[in-house]
Amino acid sequence: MLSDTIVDRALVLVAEGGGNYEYFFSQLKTPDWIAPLNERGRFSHPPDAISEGGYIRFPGWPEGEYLLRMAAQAPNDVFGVLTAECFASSNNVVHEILVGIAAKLPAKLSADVALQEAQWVSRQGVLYGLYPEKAAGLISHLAGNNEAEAAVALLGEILDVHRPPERDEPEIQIEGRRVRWGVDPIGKAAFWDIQQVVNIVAEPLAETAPELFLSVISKTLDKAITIHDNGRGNVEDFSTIWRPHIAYGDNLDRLGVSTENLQVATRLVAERRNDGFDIARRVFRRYEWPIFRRFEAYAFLVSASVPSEIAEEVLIDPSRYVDATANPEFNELLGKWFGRVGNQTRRLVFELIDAGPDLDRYSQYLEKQEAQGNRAESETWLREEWQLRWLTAIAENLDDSRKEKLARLAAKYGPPSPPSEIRGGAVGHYTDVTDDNLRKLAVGDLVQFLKNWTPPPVTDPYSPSRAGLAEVLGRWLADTPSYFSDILESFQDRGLHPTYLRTILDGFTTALKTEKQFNIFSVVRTIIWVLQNTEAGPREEFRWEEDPGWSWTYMSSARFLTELFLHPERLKVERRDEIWPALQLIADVKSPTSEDEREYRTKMDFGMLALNSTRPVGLEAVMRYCRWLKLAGVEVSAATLPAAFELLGQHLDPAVDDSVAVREMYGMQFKLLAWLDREWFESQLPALFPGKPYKVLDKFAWNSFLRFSGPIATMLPAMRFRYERAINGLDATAATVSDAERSLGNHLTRFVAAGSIGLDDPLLVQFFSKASHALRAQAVGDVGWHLGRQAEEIEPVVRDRLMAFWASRLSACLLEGSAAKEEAGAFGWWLQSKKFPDPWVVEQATEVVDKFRDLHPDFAVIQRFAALSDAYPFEAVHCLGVVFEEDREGWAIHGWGDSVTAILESALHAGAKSRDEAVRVINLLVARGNRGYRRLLDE
Amino acid sequence: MADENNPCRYELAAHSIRELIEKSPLLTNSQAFASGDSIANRLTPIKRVFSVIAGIQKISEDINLESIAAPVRGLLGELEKFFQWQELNRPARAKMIARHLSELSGAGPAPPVDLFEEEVFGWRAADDYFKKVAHNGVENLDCDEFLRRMSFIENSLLRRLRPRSVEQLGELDALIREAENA
Repeated sequence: MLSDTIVDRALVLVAEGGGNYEYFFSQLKTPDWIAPLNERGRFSHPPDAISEGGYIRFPGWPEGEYLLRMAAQAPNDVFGVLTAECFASSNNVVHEILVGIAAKLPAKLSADVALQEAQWVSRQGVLYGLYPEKAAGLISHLAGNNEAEAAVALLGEILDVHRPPERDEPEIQIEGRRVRWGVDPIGKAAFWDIQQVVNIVAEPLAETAPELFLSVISKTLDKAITIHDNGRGNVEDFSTIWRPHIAYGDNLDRLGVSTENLQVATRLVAERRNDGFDIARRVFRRYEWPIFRRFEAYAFLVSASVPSEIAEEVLIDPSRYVDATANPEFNELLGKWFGRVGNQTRRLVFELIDAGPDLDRYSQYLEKQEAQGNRAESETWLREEWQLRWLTAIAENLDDSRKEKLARLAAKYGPPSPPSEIRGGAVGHYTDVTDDNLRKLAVGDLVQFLKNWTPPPVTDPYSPSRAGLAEVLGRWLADTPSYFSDILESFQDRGLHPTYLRTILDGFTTALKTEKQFNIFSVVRTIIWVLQNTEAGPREEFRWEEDPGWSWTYMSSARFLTELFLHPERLKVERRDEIWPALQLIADVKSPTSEDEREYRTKMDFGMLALNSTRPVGLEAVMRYCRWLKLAGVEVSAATLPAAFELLGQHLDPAVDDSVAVREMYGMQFKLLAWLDREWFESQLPALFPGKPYKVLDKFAWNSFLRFSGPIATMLPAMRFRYERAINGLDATAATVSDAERSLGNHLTRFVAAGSIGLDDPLLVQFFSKASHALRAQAVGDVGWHLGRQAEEIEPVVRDRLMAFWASRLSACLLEGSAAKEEAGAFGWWLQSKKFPDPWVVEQATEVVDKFRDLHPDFAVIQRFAALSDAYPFEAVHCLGVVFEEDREGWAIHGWGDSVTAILESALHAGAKSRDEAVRVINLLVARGNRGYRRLLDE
Repeated sequence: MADENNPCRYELAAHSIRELIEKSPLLTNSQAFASGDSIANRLTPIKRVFSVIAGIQKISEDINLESIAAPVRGLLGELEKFFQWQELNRPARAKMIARHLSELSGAGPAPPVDLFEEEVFGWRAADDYFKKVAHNGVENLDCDEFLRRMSFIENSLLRRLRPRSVEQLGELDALIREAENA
């Protein structure tokens, strides 16, 4: 029997820990506990959300879960204990439970909860977790039980959108008017969640409260469009761009989702109810944005029962014919209904179409055309385009004269694209010239055609362009590169737009990677012609429809040359002199200039400019030229190939070339340069890594070297000065590790592994005395990480060196104490690598855990100990316990899988010491809510 | 404490327990409790002003207030500051202790604070007690009280660091069974 003694004793046990707390409330099966627990205040303390370090956490509410289970059995008792404290809770989980409870209560009580929840939702910026979905369950429950107002009140708050915070952006003005960008509204829940809510509630609400339902969703869309308009004062919402057809569109933003929701609601209301179209019309007329006129037409379209007199009234409404592309749904509706309406209505519609559009709407455009003497043609074009669209909509029901007119207009302007495809979607380059058109032409005619072809004025991205025409050319070249290399000389014409030759060179670069044969020397000759006979502007701005000048052709030339030397089968050593002039020229191209690099010099995305600028890529081609020759058996050195090495040396002189992108390229190709002629390259190192006043050149060369080249033991003596410089620049207090610093640490530990430096080497000693804790931990951890990725075993001598290295680091960490926790704990990576003897690695790991209470990464450590637990049951379970205790967030265990059970079972079946430790750890696990492990002791 | 020849054994033991209390948040990677901002420290300026008054006149029922008006005003000012501090900090300290005790249980669910309010008060009282013993000594120290408060701290820590959850869940099962099967 439930007595005060039992309740009080149970609560004493509950107070012992969170595991007990959760467990107790999860096990209660009768509502008898509600009153005594309520007397003891147990339902008045829902936990609040916890904000820590930029994160927000929502603790569970076991009491609430109990009430949720009891709600159907004892609804009045449960409702009676829901206090104001519950509804005021900042905890999302508490509110999920509250709406869950409400969905099980009688409708009147549910409505009370729903209204309180609506108030809470109205104060929230974001609805986390499962709240929207659970609230949808409550809304459906209310809708089905005559409490639609409460249902819609809650739904409206969940769907609500608001303006994002103002961003501090520079103000842009065009012709004295401030440009206001469209703003994407923000909602309270993710797109998917919002759609899920509407899908759940749509049917019951469309059935029982269609007008309220449509109203609340229309209100949200109206607000979303107003926010998106951003006070620009438009009467146009441009919905045909972002929603080409009401029936289908994307849901990639809040506007799209709000529109989709209204589409779902409209379809249901209009399809399911005889008066659905009328309800929709009533609701949509409250809003002014043009999309609501489209929704009205859509409601008519999907409705099964629109009376003919209303259909006729709609079709002869002149306001619907103002713009032939503004309401694609009406165009469709006209086509659908026109055949069914009477002759009188048809006659009136024809009159509207015959009268043409109101040209006053285009007065500004027509005035401009008038100034150019084109007014009459423009008026004709506007009128006929407009009529073409309307006649197309009713094409099946035209009389002979109008059929003839439609055919004439379609021949003149082309058939109009369906209204729903007027605009939108991704765009590419366009041309009205087909592959066949071009391939029919003889070489001379082809070049002449390309020279003469002039694109029409660009009116939109679909306009034919030189880039579009060049793509046709590129496709042809891809099929027959040999034909193009034979006729290439014909394209050496300064009157030809550079877009074509650039496309041709790009095509050859692609063809290099195929089996298709072509004359590479012809291409090289064309590159030489381009570089000798054309000029690139200093800064050519990007243009969508064609190349802005010759600079892109230069870049394509560099790309072809650097790719060429990766295909020695296409080259002949004895003809190398035919290629060399192209390399000299490309290495001398001005791009990138100091101006090009001004912003890049302040950034840290090393490598990007080197790979995308002409001169650095050209210099890479020179390096690869030397590589090709050396691989082909030619003796390559500064002495035997002076021109190439002098050229490479010159670009390390800041007076000749102060480009940071060029330095990046040398850093990237560090290994290659060292391989080509080590002695020569060592002599260049002070120039490659200069001191003041060229520190920026040094920085880019060094970072690029660290990023793209591994350590080279043979170069270490010559590179020592640069390593020392990097170590001296470390910040011991830094909390984060840059990629360059990480690479520096990796270089040094790899030198240790290779035996290139000893443990007392000043570089290593200085690194560990100057590096931050985070960098030291990274360097130590990376050793294990790299070894773990390596399939083969490591050589014993390397293993011994690394074990000695670890011993020295552990000693240093022990001397330093808890401050060195992160570095010592990184030994977990060594443990998981499986490259060291088990007894040694277990001993080291246990010492680290005991002294520093850290071993990471936790998932790999626990997994490895699970594999070792039969042989080392105590160490495994002990480390498991400590790693678990030290996980202050409590999430880590979810990534450990079956490893925990494996470790605990091994320990429980081992000696007393291991068993005792296993019992301690199981109690810890259970106390923190992992109740499943309790069975291990029961067994 | 077993060394009865050591006259300072209680003070030293109290010091150790104070260290344990003060440093126990480090077990959860939190900061140690700030030391120094104690009631005793806050009473120091009050005591100083009071000493001035006591030095002027013997404190008795027929004390001449006019002659000590200035230091009495100072005393009242210090008392006001003290009570303001107490108002602000004493509940916060209780909250801090409650949070600390919850964190000692590690990650995972935590029982509502009101369920272990008494433990929070007990912890705070023990903390104050050991501070007093450690710094000022206690004449005729009640050995039983000392041990009782020490056990209280020890049990609070053990309950969290060495939980007995498996056994306690069994007891909860039994209680629920008894209540619901009736």
